[in-house]
Amino acid sequence: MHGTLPPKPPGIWRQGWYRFRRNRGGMLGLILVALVVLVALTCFVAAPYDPNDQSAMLRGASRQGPSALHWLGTDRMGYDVLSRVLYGAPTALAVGLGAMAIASVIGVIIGGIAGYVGGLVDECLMRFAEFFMVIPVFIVILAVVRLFGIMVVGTWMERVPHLNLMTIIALLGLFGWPPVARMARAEFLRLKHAEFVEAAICIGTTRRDILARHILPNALPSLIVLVALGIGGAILAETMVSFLGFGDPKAISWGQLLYFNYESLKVAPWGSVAPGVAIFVTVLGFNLLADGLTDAFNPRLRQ
Amino acid sequence: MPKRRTLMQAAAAAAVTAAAGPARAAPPFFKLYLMIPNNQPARMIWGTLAAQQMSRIGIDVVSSFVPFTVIAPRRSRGEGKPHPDGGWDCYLERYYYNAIKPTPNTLFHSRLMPPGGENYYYVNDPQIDASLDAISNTRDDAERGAAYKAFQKRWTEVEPLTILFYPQDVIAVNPKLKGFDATTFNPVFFPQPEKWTIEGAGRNATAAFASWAPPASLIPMYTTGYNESNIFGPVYNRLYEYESWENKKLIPSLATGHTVSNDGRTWVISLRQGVKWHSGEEFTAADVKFTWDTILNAAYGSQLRAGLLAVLGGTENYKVSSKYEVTVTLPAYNMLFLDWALGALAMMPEHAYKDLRPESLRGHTASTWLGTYAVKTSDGKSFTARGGVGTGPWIPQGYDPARKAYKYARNPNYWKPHTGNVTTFYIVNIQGTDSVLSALKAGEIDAHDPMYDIGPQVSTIDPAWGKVQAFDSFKWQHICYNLKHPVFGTGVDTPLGRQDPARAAEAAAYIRRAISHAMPREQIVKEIAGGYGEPGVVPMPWSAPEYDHDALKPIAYDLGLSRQYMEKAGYEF
Repeated sequence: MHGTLPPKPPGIWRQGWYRFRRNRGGMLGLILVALVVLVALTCFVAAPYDPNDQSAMLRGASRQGPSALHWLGTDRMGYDVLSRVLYGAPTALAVGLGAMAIASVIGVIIGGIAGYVGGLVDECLMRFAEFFMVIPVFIVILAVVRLFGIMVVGTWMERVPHLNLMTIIALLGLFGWPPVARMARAEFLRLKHAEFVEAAICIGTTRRDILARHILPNALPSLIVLVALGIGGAILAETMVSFLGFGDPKAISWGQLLYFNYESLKVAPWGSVAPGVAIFVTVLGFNLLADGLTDAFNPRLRQ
Repeated sequence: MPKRRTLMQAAAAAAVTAAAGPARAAPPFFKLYLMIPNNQPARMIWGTLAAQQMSRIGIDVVSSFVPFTVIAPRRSRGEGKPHPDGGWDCYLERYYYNAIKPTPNTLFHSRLMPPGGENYYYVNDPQIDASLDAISNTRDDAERGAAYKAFQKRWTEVEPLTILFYPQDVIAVNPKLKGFDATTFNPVFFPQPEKWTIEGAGRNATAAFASWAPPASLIPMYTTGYNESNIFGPVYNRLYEYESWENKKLIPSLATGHTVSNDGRTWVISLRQGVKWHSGEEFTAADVKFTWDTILNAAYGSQLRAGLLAVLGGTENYKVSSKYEVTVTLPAYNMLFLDWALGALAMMPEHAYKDLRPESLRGHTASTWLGTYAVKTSDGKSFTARGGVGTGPWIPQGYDPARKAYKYARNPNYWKPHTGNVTTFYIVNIQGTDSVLSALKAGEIDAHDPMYDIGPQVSTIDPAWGKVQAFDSFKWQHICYNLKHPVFGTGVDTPLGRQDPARAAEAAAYIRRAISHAMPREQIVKEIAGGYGEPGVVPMPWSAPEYDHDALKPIAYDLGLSRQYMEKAGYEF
């Protein structure tokens, strides 16, 4: 007997994409993020000047307004603002993606174990996560960056390029995992009782396969939303650290541009406005993207 | 026409270059750690520029933005170790002498190395020492003038530090504030609100002055910096003081005069009678002895100790000869005795401070202005102090942490009349140039200290809310080096120094000169200091009569010359 099988229903990702495409805010966020990524990938050829070129100062042309030579003008330090802003994009993305990659790995492992195993393990791990949530991360970063900067002097670690920046990324990641863990725990807790997981258990699927092939992929949409939000947060955090003068002197960061130029706001506003706009666009992009992903993967939430 | 193979090779080379980046630059000659204090964005800018210029002559510069609290302990340890071993290599600094008469002898003599002295850089040059001794000890003006010239000449030969520029002090004040012209900006001349008049504010005006960073201690012997002197200055007096910034004339203050023996060694100082401490106790010669004893007592850890010891020789060389007279027998005549020991050291009250233990002094209310303490006077009365106890025109009213404000009340028993209408005075800690100008515009302050470097912002100040005044600052900005560093200090680790150890110091001097010629001083003044300053050469105030304008010429910005000096030190480009 021949029958026609019903068409395979679209998967969770495809359904999410259909919904995401209809979300204008989400699409705008995606475009902005894509723009930042494009800038980060092409800045090395697109920037008109070397980002460390201070020759404008040597020829008496710092704090000059936009011109054909310097499209966004030069800043207080004699840098070409456009080049510095373009070169700031990879730093921002490295901070955002790096910090959230670390936070995601730690968060998913701890949250996943807590949600799947439950009981005392769940209690202990969640209290551990809460402990991390009440630590004043910003002050810890400032203190550790300072201490670390002293401790590595004369060691092999000093040769690591952008060590200060990497320390900031690592700390943002190490202190940014609790929200991911809480979300992962909730998802794992919900999914471990789902019918398809019970079915998998019945047919003898190993625990590792259940976790890796059934629960984790279904928990990812919710986690991605958090991660997208976290990227924007991490970029802002690094900006603040740099703005306070504790950033990596050798890294090109939008926060550092703001720090060095905010006192010239009235004299050479382009030096502050340009990095400010770059931060705004990037963080807005990730936040809109996260909002769009929320609507796409959790449509009932919006309803 | 090039062959196809040649073209293919060129294309391949271009592709490799594009993928792997241009060929690596030659390895740097040596590594240098540059600490840039993070409390002044302008200095951070020229610090970054200086680091980049050094890297252009083959130096691997590891720069860091750090608070001065990181630099101070590293340089004070007195061991001369390089940065990786807990000491330091190089940092940026603004410096000034504590007296109008330039006193390089308090800073660069080999006798004054830390931890007791302020020669943090370990300048150790016999010719410089000889000229500094002559500056200190001669009573002949012509001889001293020649010694100043010799010091400056030798300095330009070895350039122990790189003097970047002489900044002007640019201050914006409330246009209604009169009498600020009498205030000068070396900390010796702290703000003098007793001379201020706020027009239209009646007879009981309130004035406020902004100071950048919080002080470390408000006991005068612990510091000579702005952050502290701004605040403790209005409370205390010195034995002599400068009449005004315009005439820069030293006149008696708590002293009424002095006699000096022909050999310049024996001084009899007469003290003003009837002067009262804020507690009501009378100021006497015992207070002068107490002040010097305390500074010279190593247990108190005063950074003025080495300097005062060099001048006075020891506690046995001065005595109270009567209630209002002190007799001093110096080991040798020293110009610093009048210009610095009498003219710059604030007198401290014996009755109020004698029982404060050395280990607790920095944390005491007299130092922090937090809380109160009782001061017993000889007539059995008790005075409640809210800060330091001095003889000065202003009585501390404590520190308000919430407002970051130090409050003062006019001293009604001051031995000199107040000439202005200010009766309540505040010093507030405001950080940031923009913030201080906003505070001035909002009427929250009436003046500020010169640390804000408002020069580049002058064009944004509306005369309706800010009157801009510029003064010769008697300061300089420099890059200072640890002269015990094996490369740019002693030179033993330079190619020339290794090849011929007898020429090691010469090699180190070449490196310092190379760095010096790599600094675009004129552009730093023009672009970062807003044009308020002069390119630097020697650590002498630009407008001091002792500055040898005839002999000293600006140091050329010339990277070619820099590289030549590096080559003389044995480095090959």
